[in-house]
Amino acid sequence: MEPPHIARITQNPFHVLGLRPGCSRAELERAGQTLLDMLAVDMRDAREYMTPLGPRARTAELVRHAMAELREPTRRVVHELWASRDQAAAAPRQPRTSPLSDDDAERDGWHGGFRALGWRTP
Amino acid sequence: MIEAVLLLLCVLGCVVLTVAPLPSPEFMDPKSPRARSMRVSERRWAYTLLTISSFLFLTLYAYSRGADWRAVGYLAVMMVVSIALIHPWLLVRGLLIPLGQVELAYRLSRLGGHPWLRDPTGGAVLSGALALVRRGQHHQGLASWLEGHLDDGPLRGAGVAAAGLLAASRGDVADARVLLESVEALDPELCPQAAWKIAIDWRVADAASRGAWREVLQLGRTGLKTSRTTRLVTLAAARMTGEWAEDAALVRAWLLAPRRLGNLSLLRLALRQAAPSVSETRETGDAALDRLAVVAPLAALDAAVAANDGHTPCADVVGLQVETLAALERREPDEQAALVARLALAWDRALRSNFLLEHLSGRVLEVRASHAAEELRDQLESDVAADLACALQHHRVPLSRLSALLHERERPSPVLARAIDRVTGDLLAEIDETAQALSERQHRLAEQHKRLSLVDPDGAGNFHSIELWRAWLAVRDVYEDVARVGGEQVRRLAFPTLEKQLGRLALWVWQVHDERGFADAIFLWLLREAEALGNTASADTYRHNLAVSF
Amino acid sequence: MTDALYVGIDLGTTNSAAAVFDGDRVESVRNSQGTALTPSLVRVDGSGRVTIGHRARRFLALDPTSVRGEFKRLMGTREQLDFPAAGLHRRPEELAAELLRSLRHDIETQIGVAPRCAVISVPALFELPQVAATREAATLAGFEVVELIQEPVASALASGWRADDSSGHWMVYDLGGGTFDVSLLETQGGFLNVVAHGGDNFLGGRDLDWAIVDWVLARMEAEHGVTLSREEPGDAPAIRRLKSAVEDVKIELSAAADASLLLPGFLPSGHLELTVTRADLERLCAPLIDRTVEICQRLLAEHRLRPADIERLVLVGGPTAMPLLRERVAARLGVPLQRELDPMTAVAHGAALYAASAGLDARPRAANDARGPAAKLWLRHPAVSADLKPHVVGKVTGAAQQGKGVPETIRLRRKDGRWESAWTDLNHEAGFIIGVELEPRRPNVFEVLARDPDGAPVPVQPDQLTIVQGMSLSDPPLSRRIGVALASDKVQVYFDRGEPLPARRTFRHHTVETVAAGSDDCLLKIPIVQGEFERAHLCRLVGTLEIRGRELKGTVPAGAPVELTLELDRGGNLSARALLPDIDQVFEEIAHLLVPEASHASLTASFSATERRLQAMRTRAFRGRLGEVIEQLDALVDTYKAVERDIAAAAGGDADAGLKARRTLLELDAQLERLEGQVEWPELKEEARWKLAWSSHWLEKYGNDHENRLFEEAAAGADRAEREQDAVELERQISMAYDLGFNAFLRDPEAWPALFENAAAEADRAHDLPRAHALVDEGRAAVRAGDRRKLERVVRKLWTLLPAEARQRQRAFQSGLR
Ligand SMILES: Nc1ncnc2c1ncn2[C@@H]1O[C@H](COP(=O)(O)OP(=O)(O)OP(=O)(O)O)[C@@H](O)[C@H]1O
Ligand SMILES: [Mg+2]
Repeated sequence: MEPPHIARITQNPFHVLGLRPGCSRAELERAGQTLLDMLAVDMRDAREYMTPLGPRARTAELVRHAMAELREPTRRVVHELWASRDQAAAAPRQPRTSPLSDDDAERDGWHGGFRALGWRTP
Repeated sequence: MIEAVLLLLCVLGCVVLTVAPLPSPEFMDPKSPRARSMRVSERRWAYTLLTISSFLFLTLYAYSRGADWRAVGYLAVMMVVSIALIHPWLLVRGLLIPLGQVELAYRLSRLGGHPWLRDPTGGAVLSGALALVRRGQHHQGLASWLEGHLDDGPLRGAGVAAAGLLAASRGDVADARVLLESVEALDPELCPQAAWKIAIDWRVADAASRGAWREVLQLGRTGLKTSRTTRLVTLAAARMTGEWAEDAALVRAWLLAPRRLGNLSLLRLALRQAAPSVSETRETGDAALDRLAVVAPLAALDAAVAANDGHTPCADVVGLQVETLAALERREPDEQAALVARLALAWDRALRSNFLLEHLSGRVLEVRASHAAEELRDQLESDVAADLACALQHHRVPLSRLSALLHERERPSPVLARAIDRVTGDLLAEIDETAQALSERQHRLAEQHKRLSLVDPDGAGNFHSIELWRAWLAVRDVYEDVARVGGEQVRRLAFPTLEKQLGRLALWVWQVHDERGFADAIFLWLLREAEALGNTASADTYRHNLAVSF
Repeated sequence: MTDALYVGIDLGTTNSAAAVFDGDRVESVRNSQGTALTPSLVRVDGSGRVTIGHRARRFLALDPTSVRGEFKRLMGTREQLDFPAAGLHRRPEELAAELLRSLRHDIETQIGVAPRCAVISVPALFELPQVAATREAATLAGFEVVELIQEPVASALASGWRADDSSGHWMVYDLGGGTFDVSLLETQGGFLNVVAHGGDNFLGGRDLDWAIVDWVLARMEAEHGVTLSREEPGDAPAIRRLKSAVEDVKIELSAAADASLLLPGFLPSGHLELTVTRADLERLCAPLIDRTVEICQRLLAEHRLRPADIERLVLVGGPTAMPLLRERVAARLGVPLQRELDPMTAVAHGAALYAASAGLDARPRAANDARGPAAKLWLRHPAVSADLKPHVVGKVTGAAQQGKGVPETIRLRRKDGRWESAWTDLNHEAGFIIGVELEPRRPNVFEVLARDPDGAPVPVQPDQLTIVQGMSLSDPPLSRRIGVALASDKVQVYFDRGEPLPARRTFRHHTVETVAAGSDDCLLKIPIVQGEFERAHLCRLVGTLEIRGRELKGTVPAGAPVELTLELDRGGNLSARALLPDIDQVFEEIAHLLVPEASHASLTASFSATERRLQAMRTRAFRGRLGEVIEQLDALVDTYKAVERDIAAAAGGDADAGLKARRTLLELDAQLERLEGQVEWPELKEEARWKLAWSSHWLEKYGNDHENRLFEEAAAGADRAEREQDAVELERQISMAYDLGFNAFLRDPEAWPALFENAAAEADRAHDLPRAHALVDEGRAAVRAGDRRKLERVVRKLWTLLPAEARQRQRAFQSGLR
């Protein structure tokens, strides 16, 4: 689950639907409808979309929500601002790793330490 | 004759030990559990002394009467048995725990004695828990049974450690960590050293198997006398973190510690570690900001905006935001603060630019939107502030670093100021709600207690102090985290709310349930916090409460 | 021609109707009486036999206790309707099911097959439990698949279906028997978009009837000296008779200039006869009509539209047949009316059209026909499309035989032969996307052709598909906001109004309390609420997710994350899923709730509570001389009177009035809450002023530099909070400043004696009375001796003995999340 500040970028309706910010209403409806149908027949091409922060999974709910957002003119104008120029250009496709909580973590742990020290490994 | 005098002296000493008055009643209520346990422990030492001196006396006496070694042998056996009865720990530790005899270990330890003098009930449960973790598999029935016995007496160090071990045995590592760590929050007077050592041992094992060697170092160097195993692991950790430890020292520690075979892998791991390279120096926050070159990208952005290269006016800032969000994932807090500050400054410019407003006015007309361009810009601004706040919260970036950065550079950023306000508000709300929930829980328990005590005035039980202990630890942790993130100001504002609820909780567990250890732990923590904040009136109150409760 | 059939049903409070759409034309379904409207009445006679509609209506006068109507209003409540003659109780759902069953039978008579699925309309403002009840009724009636659509959206579809391609905003005004719905819609290039809903769940034709009944009762009393009261359960049969007669008069007046009300033997002295003119009716109805207009205007204002922006107004529902209503609404709102639509059947027609959009073919599923081996296709496409060039998506899911007969390329050909696609190769997943071209405003049938790698034709199943070109509405919007109540009494909105269904949303929350694994008395509650209020406790609780310590795998400390996902399907069925990532455990069991009953006792109790609150507010407002607040309080009095009347009517047997009273009470509470904020603010400011003054006084005397600096910070913070009207923050800053002041005050020689006196006065409330009294004596001695240190010690000890004030704020449904 993505926190809202990430979702604002990754769930931008234009990214979800794979549309340019300048697209027309008819294009929007057609793209949305087609994606929903593709998801319904479980086509692999539809299951992922590209965002500036890397690929994300596309779901029917996301598509529906994106369509509703873009139908409302005011919200659409705001989303246009957030849809950055070219998708996926800004960031490399990086695997999302969790932030390192302490710098020891990269070193080796003592596997089996619990058992060796007389505790049951939880 | 001399033997008789010796014996007499011993008996006299024991009598003196047992009847000696306690410290002034002004500071110790003679009926208090602490006073009671002090008496018990004094008595027990007296018995031990008596047993040993009687043995010595009888041996000497027998020798003087020309008895053979067999009589001495009988005497020795008798002495060992009586000492085992006075201090059952010897038997429990040597036999019952390794055999995993949970029930027996518990029952025998209930007889009291060393090392659980400061917490006899908890100590017995801890013995049982140790036996439980020695069994090959977790046994829920036994665990529940042991846990039930925790409520037999007030909660103290050994009890808390026992609960932690039970959680570990259950496989709930997070809970085990919290509980075993919390042993330190208790007044040392109420925490048997052995319990403390056991807690440290487990935590060291946990940290070592996670590879958190720095944590091991910290644990191993808390100052008190640690176990041999812990000393070995600490030395290994020193090696692993790049601080050096001689091979010889390591091998010696390994030889000294028990379970040499099992620890061999650790020894190997540590010995493999090469000599430390030159340690990297860490950047300060300011250097980080410079290195990130705040000014350069901003100038580039300005140029892009001026050139109006046909894109939406925010494209560049959004690009920067994307870059920042990706970068935040793998940076240190200092750098994170700098990154967010840079982003905020960029947004400030974008939001104030005429280009944005013109663009919005145009679009609003085109799509027949119901809002004016200015409103949309304001909305964008608040969205941006919300996102920044969310990013700050998500990475728990300390606010103090941000304000320091902006202060130094004398560059006020309205967007960032809004974001900081939001985070502050959220943090304070977090404290408010947590404190509120705690007080409601206390209230609920109090009601329940009242109802139960009407039905059954003696056994108004059903008060599981360990659960409440967990609750308070969680609240404390929430506060400490909030204080770390929010900095001095938030801490100062948040403390009074928490203080009120925690103070009430402490008074209640102390006066209604006689849980002095619990209450003291809270008072101690409150005292430290009040002192740190320079809140003298509060600090006086807690100092007083701590004094009275003993 | 296509042979798919789509069925829509308008399940109304007073009248129900059904319609069938064959892809080309929509037709109303006639019942056995030959009319399109079936009264929503159910009769259960002495032997338990059930009759519906017109036939039940005939017994309304003869045997009123065996006939029940208006059960739609009670859907989703625990209310039981009894039929004394048969000695039976029936839930509202069961009665609705009887009605639906009869409609289903009528449809079967008309189209020849019993419909398998249908779309049923519900008022836009129905709450989740009511929606669920409607679904249940449909299942009971034998429908396998049902979808629900909001009535105004259905009317909009009906009226937009054949409209020209105009783009712009328009409104649907649906005044029914008991509900008023208004919707704001927008069309653009054939796409219908529902912008917003408004309305009043408790306003309709029956309110007009009651207004006339009250007027008749008043005249009866004046002219004949006969008193009948709606509050008297004993008078209920007579009132019911009168109301039914009044309704007939009202309907008659839609066509005639005057009508007479004649009730033989109604008065002790004989007949009741009255002439009612249109002028009378207008006078009585005007206030109600004006209320509907106000709701419309509010909706427009919320969306920043002027009446001039609205192209047309579609009127739907029985009362809109009244000429005076049509005129008044058009004149006051200033929007032209659209005329050609039949206001009584529009909803059913729209529902049938929606069934087509949703692809709900009512015919029984065709048995797999044995046309020889064929490759199986999985086809997806819009059933109704506004787009003239939609896409058809498909996938080959199974070949007839291995190797041979595997399609490689696909082509679609329109049946009229005027268009065909190119041969399209299947992609690596054996799927294809083909854009097709539609003939406007009619059903378009396409043949599916396939060829194998050798170019030989391959039979496929299905081998044809139909797309209707016309107004399309893909997703019904949610009409009421749904969220989760948080511990702070705020609501985390999951789905806002207008959210397209189905929808799913996940948010991350945090627990506020530790829940220990295995403990029985620990519970994490996640209340799900519905409603537009900011404060959670004012919203309707529609379900709770409860996580018990007993079920947990590990202890969940306060502050632990909880990822909550709410999901709503098309018909508004709610499901929830809470994931506790720390222990990796999922909880899904949700306790659904009914619409709370409006029992008389609970109503009067909350009514008097509100009354007390109103009084207290008034006193406070007077004390604070807050003229504005007093005025607003006065404005609430009318609402308050209306509630009183409704409660009385509920006591007289009108369950609907009870529900209405409950709703209005809730609104009243919300208003009071808002006003309370207005009153509290000046009080808080006053408190801030004196506390700051007090503290600064003592700090000046005894404070050190550090303290003074902190005080200044706090004072500045308080200032800012006051400017920003942030009550919580102001309170926090003041308490901070006050603590500093108190700190300084303790250094005053007189402080401890004063504190001692205060504590001594409270000593009777201590836990340990003897000890407290001993301490008080000790303290007195210390005061006499002037021993300050000793006194201080005594006071501190006394403090620890005094009970902490046990103040428990009722939280929002005891939510355990933040
Ligand atoms: N010609 C008419 N003139 C005036 N009022 C009428 C006329 N016909 C019906 N009504 C009134 O309209 C109301 C019923 O309207 P309608 O059938 O639209 O409601 P409904 O659809 O059953 O109710 P709802 O939509 O609230 O569920 C009744 O109050 C009836 O008295
Ligand atoms: Mg209707």
